[in-house]
Amino acid sequence: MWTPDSLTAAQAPLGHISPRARLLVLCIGLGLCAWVVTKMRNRTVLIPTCTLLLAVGAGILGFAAWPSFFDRLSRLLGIYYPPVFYFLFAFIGLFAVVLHLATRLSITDERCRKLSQEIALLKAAQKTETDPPPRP
Amino acid sequence: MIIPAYNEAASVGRVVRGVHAVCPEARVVVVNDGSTDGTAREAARAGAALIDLPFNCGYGVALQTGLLHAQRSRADFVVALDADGQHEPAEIPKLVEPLRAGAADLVLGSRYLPGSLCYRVPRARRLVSWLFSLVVSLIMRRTIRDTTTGFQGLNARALQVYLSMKDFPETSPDADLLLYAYRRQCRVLEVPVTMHADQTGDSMHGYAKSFFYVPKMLISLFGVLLAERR
Repeated sequence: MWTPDSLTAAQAPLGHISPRARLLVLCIGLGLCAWVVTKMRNRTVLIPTCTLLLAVGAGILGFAAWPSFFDRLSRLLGIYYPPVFYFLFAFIGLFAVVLHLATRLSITDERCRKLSQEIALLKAAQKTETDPPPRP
Repeated sequence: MIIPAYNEAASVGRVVRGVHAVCPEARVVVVNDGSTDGTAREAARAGAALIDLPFNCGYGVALQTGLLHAQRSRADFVVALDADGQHEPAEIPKLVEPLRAGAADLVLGSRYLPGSLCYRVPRARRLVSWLFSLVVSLIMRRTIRDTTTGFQGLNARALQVYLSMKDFPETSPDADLLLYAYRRQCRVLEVPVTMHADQTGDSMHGYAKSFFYVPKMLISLFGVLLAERR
C-alpha cells in the first residue's frame, strides 16, 4: 500500500490523488464552468473571456477526472515531481487570463479616452453654437 | 491657446486673463480635466472657451483634447501652457514668432537655456530632466535642454504630427512626444523662458513624486523608436 511517506515523489504511483481531493477539484471546475455559463447567458462577460475561462474550467475538470494523465504528461516533460507541473500549468493558465484581460483593458481604456474626448468636444461645439462667444 | 487644467481654480483665471492681455486676438481654450473645484467656473469667468472632460483623464488626454479641438478649428498656431501659473503669458510671442517666421514647427519654452529665468527646481526633478535631456539629445544628435516643458508652440504641421501618435501619452507627454515629432521631421527649436514655481503647490503632472515616471518614460522612448521599425 502506498502512503505519502513511504516513497519518494519520483517513485509515487501515477494519479495518486485522494478521492476527496478529486471531488474538491471537480466541484471547483464545475463551479467555474457553471459561473461562466451563467455569465454567458446574461451576456455580462465577453465571449472571448468566457472561452478562456471555460478552457481553464475544462483543464480543472480534466485534472479531476484523469489525474494520472497529468502525472504522465509531467514525467513526459521531464518534471518528476508532478505538483511542480500542476503549479506550472496553473501559472500558465492564470498568466493567459492576465494577458487577455490586460489586452482588453488597454483596448477599453483607449476607447473610453476617445469617447470622453468626443463627448467633451461635442459639448463644447454645441455650447459655442448656442451661447454667445466668451468675452475677456 | 490651450490650457489643460485640473483643480486649478486658484490660478486658471489669472492665466487666462494674462493670455488675453498679451494676445487679444487668440482663442483661449481651457480643457477642464474633470476638476472638482471651481476651475471651469473661473476659466469661463475669465473669458476662456471651455472643453469639459467628463472625468479626470490625465494631463496628456487633456492636452490631446485641446490639440484635437485646435486641429478641427483649423488653427494655424497653437500654444500650450499650464494652468498653474508656471508659464508667463507675456512670453507667448517668443514661441509664436519662430512659428510665424517658419523657422520651426515646434518651439519649446526652456527653463534650462542661458537667458531663461527659472525658480529653484528641486534636485530630483532637475536630475530627471537632465537624464531625459541626455537621452533625447543622444538620440536626436542635438542638444535639447528641457524635454519636460509644457510651454510649447506648434504650427499646423507639428499639430498634425502630435495627433498622429497612436498611443498619445496619457499622463505625461514629454520627451516621448518630442522625440516622436522630431523623428517625423518636425523642426524643433528651444527658446529661453521664465518658469515660475507651481503657484498652487500641486503640480498637475505630479511626476516628480512618482518613481514610476523614469522607467515609464524610458520604455515610452523605446516604444517610439521601436514603432518606426515596424
